[in-house]
Amino acid sequence: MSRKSERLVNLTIALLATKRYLTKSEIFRTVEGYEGAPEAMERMFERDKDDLRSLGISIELGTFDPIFEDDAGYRITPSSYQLNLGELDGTDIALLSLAATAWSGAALERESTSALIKLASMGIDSDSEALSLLTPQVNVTDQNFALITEAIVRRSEIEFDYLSADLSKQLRKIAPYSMRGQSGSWYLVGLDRERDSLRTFRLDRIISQVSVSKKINTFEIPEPIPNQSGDEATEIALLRVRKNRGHQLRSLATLLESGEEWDEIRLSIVDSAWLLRTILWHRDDVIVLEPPALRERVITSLRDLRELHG
Amino acid sequence: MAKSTTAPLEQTARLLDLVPFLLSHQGISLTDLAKHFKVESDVILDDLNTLWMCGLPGYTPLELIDLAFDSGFVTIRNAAPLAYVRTMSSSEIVALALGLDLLRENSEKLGVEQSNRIEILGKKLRDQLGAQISIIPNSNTAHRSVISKAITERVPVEMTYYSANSDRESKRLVTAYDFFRENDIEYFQGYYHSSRGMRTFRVDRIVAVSLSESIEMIPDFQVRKNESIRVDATLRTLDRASAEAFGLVLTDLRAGGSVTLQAFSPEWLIRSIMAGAGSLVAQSPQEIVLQIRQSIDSTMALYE
Repeated sequence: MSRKSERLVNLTIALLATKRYLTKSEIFRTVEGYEGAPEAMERMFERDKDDLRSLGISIELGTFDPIFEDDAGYRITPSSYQLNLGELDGTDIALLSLAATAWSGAALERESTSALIKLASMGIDSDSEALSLLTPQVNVTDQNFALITEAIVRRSEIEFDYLSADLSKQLRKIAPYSMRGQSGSWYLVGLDRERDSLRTFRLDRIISQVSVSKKINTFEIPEPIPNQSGDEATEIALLRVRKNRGHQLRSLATLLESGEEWDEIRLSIVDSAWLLRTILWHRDDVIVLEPPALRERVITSLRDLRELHG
Repeated sequence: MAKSTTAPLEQTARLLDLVPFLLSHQGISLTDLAKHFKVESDVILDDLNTLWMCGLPGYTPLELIDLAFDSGFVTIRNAAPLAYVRTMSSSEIVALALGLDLLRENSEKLGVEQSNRIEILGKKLRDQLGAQISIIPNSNTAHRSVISKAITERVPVEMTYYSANSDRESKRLVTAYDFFRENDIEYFQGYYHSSRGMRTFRVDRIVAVSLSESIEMIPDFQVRKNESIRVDATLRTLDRASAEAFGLVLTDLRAGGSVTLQAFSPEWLIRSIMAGAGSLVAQSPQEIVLQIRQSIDSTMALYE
């Protein structure tokens, strides 16, 4: 049994039940758990207010008489304390509950458990019969997921160690804008503070715990989030691709000419390292026509490969 | 996961949530209560013993919360001030909003009415956040979860799959084995029943997928999952893309070190080694090295 949680619950009850503001001295006199020297009680009360705030409970400060400001007091208004999702019926509750179960065994499991309890406490019978859905499943177990989403909501900057393309460890300082899931991975998009440009990070390449700044509202998220800057395509590649091959490249390209055995396609070079990998992956199904630099890189890579596997 | 001890703040949150939950679940058993809150029974008992000491200032029996749980079933009275269901934290709202996005991705199973409801609920939640949070799960997440379940439960899936080769969608019965990733694209390996052979499928080309009730059997020789081939190789340069393609533990690698590469399909393995442009060098078995050499030669011939 914890004296502290007992005191916090008693304080919440007292502040919620009161119709008028309770002064500090009234709180110390009447709420169970406040004892000791006045300074000690003061400190205890300050900590308690912070703790309740961290649970999302806002304590309102006000006076009954505007002339006597000394009489400032505290209360919690039921409207700010109470969950308000507007009108919900049984089907809504069932849908929301199903949404929460998506996190079973995943990163936001604790949050979704408490959300489920709140939904079940609303006194609305869940009508799950209408739903013959397959339970959705989020496949992220990364604890950084919860830290980053919280940071996005709070507009707090974050720091982490990231594995770069050459596997070296880099400390990145980011204003996080959004998270998206794609092809089984989660990506964070944010403004890299040091490079002053928008970057994408794959969650499983973050190799430290994300540290979230205590400061909130330190940036604004642009709406809509612009496309990645710095990586604008300036060059165009011309490729010859064997019929019915190279789908990955075709999906990003425009078809220029269709021959009997080969097609000619044209695409913008956004990420040259990725393009080189992909061209090599397709082996003798793809030939680079232009630009000469890319063609040269492919030939050099092939020579290296040949020598290393000689 | 069940926990046996919790921090004071965590307990406070639970106590505040226990009251409205109990008010709407009078007579619930202690075991069920612990299950709902995902904690051990002794944690719930400690919670109830604490809550029993709480109430309005004055703290006489008239003001205290009245709890009865000796029988193993919990009833609560005199708890009006805490009857409100507490507002949700931003993380709780994010969890629900994302879960709804996933539900919507399952749209082929939803009617118009339910899709609309999900839309409206999602908007309500995002309004609560007071911030435009753009967490966009990909449709793959929902499809992937079905495949993943099928792999664990060893049941085939009924799948509508888009084939880029024929530019056509077709229905297939597939027994899935394992996921793998290449160039940031996720695939899975599976036994395609109509053609009686192993095939590779891209997760993002699945149009719809559901668990199948078919009891179609797979020939024995296909069931052995460990049919993957292993290649000893040298990691010449530290290259993240190559390491990730083969699922190597990124933090353990050093340049010049030996690694074992594993794959189901020799063709995929050879292609992936070539994609690394020399960061990975295959050493053995000789037949793979030979095939790589042939692949390089035929590709180089295009440039001569």
